[in-house]
Amino acid sequence: MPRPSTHYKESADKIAVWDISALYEEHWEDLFKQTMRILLDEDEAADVVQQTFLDLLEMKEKISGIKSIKSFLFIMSRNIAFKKLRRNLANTKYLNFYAGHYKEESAILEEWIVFKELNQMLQIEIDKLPAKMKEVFILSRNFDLSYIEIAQRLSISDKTVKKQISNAIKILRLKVDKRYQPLLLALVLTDILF
Amino acid sequence: MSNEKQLKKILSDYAGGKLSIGEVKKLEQLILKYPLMKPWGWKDNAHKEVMKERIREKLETSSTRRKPNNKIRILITWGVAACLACFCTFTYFYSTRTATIKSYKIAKARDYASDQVVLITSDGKQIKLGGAASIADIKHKIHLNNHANPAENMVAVKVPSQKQFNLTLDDGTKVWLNAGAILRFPETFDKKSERIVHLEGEGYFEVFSNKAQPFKVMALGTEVKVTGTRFNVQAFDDDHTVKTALLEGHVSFSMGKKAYQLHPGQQTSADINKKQVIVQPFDAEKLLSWKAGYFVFDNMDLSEVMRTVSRWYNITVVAQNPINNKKIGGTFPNNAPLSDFLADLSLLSGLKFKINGEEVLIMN
Repeated sequence: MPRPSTHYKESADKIAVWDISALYEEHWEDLFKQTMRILLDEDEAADVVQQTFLDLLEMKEKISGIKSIKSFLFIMSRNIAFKKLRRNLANTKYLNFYAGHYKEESAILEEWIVFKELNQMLQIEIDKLPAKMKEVFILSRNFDLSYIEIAQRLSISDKTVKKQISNAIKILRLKVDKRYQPLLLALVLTDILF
Repeated sequence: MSNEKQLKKILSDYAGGKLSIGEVKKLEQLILKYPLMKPWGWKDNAHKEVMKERIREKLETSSTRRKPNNKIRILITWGVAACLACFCTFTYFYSTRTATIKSYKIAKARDYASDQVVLITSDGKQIKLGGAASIADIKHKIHLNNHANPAENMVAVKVPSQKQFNLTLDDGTKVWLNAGAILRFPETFDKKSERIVHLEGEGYFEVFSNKAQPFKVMALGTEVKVTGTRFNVQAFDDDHTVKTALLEGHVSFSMGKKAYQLHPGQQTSADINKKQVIVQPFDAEKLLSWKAGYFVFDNMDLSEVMRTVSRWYNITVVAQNPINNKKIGGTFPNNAPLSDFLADLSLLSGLKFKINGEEVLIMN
């Protein structure tokens, strides 16, 4: 159940009225901490949090009917932080530093390799899916579209899209090597659907 | 391929946009799952409060001072990762503020929560202070309000515009803080290790000599290390410079791995963005004129003059046209109203100034 927020109220025209300073007060610290999991530098993290709120101010007229301002803030700051990280990683020094650190954390590479293997296997099986189902599945997976967006694009109902994707997952689960099944389920759920 | 090489390949593909959407998501999820800075956390409440205020100030100055007419914006479409809670994905426009600028901003006002010097305690309480305090006063003030254990508590002193503050630390070191400065320091220095304080803005230090426990000023990622001396530090975030000027004794200034040894009469000027350090002589009387209540400008660029006074009066300065290399010389008392100062400056420079609230427009 969504937590009622005191910081914005839906007005009749669906444009939320926000109290930025109350939002800042409530969320800045968690945003900052999230950012420090991505970037190493407190100054950079401060910039990310600042940018998040500036973007929110800038966009508040353009976006309406957002269900949760909190998740919106977290996604925005995450994206800004990762954008900064990508820019940082273009620098060899930074890249070496990161790679050197992750070398110690073997789990990250292991998980990546499992993910890649599964992905390859999945790709082979996806190619064998019935044409329409394959199209729906690829739009969801590779183009990051929502059920509704896919439905609009293919002029079918979103229920059909949902059904097609769940059927595709059922088929793929059966096809892929049994030993990967528990992993696959997790992978499919977290990486493909969401 | 070694693990490290593999990781480098993955990360550089990520930076270069060579991964698929699914791969990017997975990698970002892994980065969040296995953060590099595992034990990261606030050092104490003062650290947190200072950060909170810093972001808020930046936020307020950049959001209120944006010019709405400057319209040319580059729209960048940004795919946003789907929202876990609502199963939906949205694409939104991220517009950068690269606007065509009709006026040229030279200095920016900051927002101060209080027009008094405040002490921020380790549990985040803000206590008003007068013009000077010794560590005994500070301890007294803190423990009137709070009965927590004083050991190792970091506190911060924040000076608003048009104020200065004189402080004696736990070890007997004297600090003069100029308008806009923030100093973080422990209520009690650890008797075994180095004495460390953090400075943003301008401060003058007379460090109590103690060879066994060096005194360190951390400023915008740089470090000034001394045992007992007199020196001035200017750490201005908006200029991204740290200037350390030595009057007496010996200091070592370091940025990254490089350290510079200073002799009396020398100062380092470090550009923290370009990572460049220049060692140069300075005029002590001029440099410390702020303590005596004056601005002394000796053929200084107008833009630097305006940045200096903006810190004192807390004003935003904009010019209609780029200001050419106009040089200003003269001594001005800093207790005069801004309008008087600008009238004098107008005579000297031949430029006209207009005050709109906290914004000063240079009509050139």
